[in-house]
Amino acid sequence: MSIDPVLQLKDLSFGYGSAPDLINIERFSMARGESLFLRGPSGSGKSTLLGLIGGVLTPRAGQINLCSSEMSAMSSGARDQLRADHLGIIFQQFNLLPYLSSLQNCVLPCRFSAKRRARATQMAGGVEVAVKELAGGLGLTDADLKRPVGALSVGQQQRVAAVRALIGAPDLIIADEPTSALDHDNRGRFIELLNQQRQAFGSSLLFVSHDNSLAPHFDRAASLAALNQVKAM
Amino acid sequence: MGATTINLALRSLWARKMTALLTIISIAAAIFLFVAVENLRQGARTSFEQTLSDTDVIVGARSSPIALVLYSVFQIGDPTNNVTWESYKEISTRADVAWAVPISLGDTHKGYRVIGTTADYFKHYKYADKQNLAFARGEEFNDLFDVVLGAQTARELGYELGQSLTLSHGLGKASFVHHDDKPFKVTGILAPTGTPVDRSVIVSLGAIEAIHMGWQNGMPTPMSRLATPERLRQMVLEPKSVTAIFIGASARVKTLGLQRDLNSYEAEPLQAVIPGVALSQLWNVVSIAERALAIVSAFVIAVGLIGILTSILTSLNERRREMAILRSLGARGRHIFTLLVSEAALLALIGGLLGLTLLYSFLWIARPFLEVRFNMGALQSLPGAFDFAVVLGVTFIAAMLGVIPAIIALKRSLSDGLSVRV
Ligand SMILES: Nc1ncnc2c1ncn2[C@@H]1O[C@H](COP(=O)(O)OP(=O)(O)OP(=O)(O)O)[C@@H](O)[C@H]1O
Ligand SMILES: [Mg+2]
Repeated sequence: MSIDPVLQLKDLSFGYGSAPDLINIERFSMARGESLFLRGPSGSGKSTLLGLIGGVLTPRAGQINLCSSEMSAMSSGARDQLRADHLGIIFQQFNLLPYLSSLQNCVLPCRFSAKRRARATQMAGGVEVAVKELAGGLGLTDADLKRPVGALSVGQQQRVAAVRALIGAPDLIIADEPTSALDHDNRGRFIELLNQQRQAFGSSLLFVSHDNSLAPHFDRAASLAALNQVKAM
Repeated sequence: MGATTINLALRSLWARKMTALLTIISIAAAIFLFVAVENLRQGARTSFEQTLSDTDVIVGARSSPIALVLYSVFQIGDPTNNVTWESYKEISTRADVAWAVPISLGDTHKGYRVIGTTADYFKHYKYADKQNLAFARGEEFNDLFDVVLGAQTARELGYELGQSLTLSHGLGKASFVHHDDKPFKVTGILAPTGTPVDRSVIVSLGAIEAIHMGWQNGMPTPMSRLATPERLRQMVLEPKSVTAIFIGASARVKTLGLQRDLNSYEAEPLQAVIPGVALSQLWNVVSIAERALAIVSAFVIAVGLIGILTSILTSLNERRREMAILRSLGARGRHIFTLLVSEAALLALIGGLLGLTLLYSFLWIARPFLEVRFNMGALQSLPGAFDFAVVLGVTFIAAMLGVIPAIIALKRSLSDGLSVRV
């Protein structure tokens, strides 16, 4: 673990439209290579926070520093580029494009980022090979990759989404409660496999969920309620 | 990156193939209609202006230039006055006149107009690109009571060579005064030309003279009984007047001088028109309906384009998640933008090319049937530059319209964040 943080939030505040602040975080940081479990009840603003970190939502005030780049100082185009290069995102649900095969889904991040394409090629010799290696590590077969995503089980879809987030070794992977559709044992196994792969890549993992029983799988656990100055009603 | 985005647009469209197909079909139908109408318009214009070629001047009694062209070339309307045979003879011997073919109108056969003329008519009447009249069957008239039929006349009346027929006096369809006592025999049937010649019945000038022998004021007198076909064949029949004269100048440059001279002809008031000029003027009058048709088909394209816009706008809601996912994967605003703009352009391009393919396949299949009835020289058998320009133009407009849903999707994907609950 190196010392410079992969993610740093400072005096961050955000609210939707003209609504009062939903999020107000004074200080938060994640070390490089660290895995962090962020707990929060439904509606507490977990997905919103990830949207801010992903640079898709714009904060009202404060700073978001991703891989030593200050997002608030950037144009939205540059923020998009930063996300493409350094972030792997696993959605809360239904996060694959139904009209592409699993393999084509997994390749997409490398289409949008030259950096990640270069890293995948450097590590495995090619983007598709990299996808296949990662898929194997997460327990997917080559046949699974060729199938349309609609023909996969929910658990298999989660793994495909994980492969897609990991491809090209992004610095930070943010996972929005990606396992809620699975039973407890399968969730645990999925998180373990995800952890193994991202550790091999040196990527950090920010995992948000309302289910506290997952916390032991991570280096560190935190509570959004404790971080957030805005108190839920 | 552009290729990737277009590839995504194609796959996304494929996932919504039912709606996409309907949109494409509506564009294809619009392009089919527009290109067909435009080509027919062009074809009609060309074939209209090519009704008569190689004739430098048409001379008739003084009326209006358009009326002269209408009755002498299109067999529409009635000639008011005639040109005397003396004038014809004098004009035909002028130095600046290479040839002069007289025509005499005023009789019909079952509504088809009779043209009395000389055998030179078959030599000098030209249409399209200086094309001569050709005989599908038979040959020119030799005997006084021989008749040559236009292609349409023969087809519609079901006449063959050797068919016997009689002429009626006057240009109306319901003529009650007939030349029953002088039957004619069909000796030739012309090939289709796409000109009014197809609807004509052609006899010699002498025949016109013969059937009116012993007539006065448009009615037969008892004297006419004496003029039997046998006697008439023995006589030298020279008309006193003709309706109009088609003239070829000895050189192109003499045309204007010839026209000026004839317009100020001293022996009688004549009128000389240059067919090309008159035909263009006439086209401007008759083409109003076709222009209306073109405007209607342009509207059909507009409706098709609005269809594209509608189908994309309605798809936006169900595709919020798709946009959010793409953005989470690193797609920039311009990718989302390109995705939707190229989707609109693709729908129009595919629809347009489909429309052209359908139209030209249709023409290819129908050509044998159409060729029998029309002069198909005017219709092209392969899509031309104009057709592709129409498709590209429509594609461009569709892309412009695609900007509207693109901006909406872009704004939305920015406020949706990374989680879309639909
Ligand atoms: N696009 C939006 N516009 C306006 N309000 C929103 C929007 N997205 C979320 N919210 C509101 O913000 C609050 C936090 O939503 P968020 O999705 O961040 O919660 P969450 O912690 O991810 O919940 P869950 O665990 O159920 O996913 C909710 O009250 C929600 O209604
Ligand atoms: Mg959430």
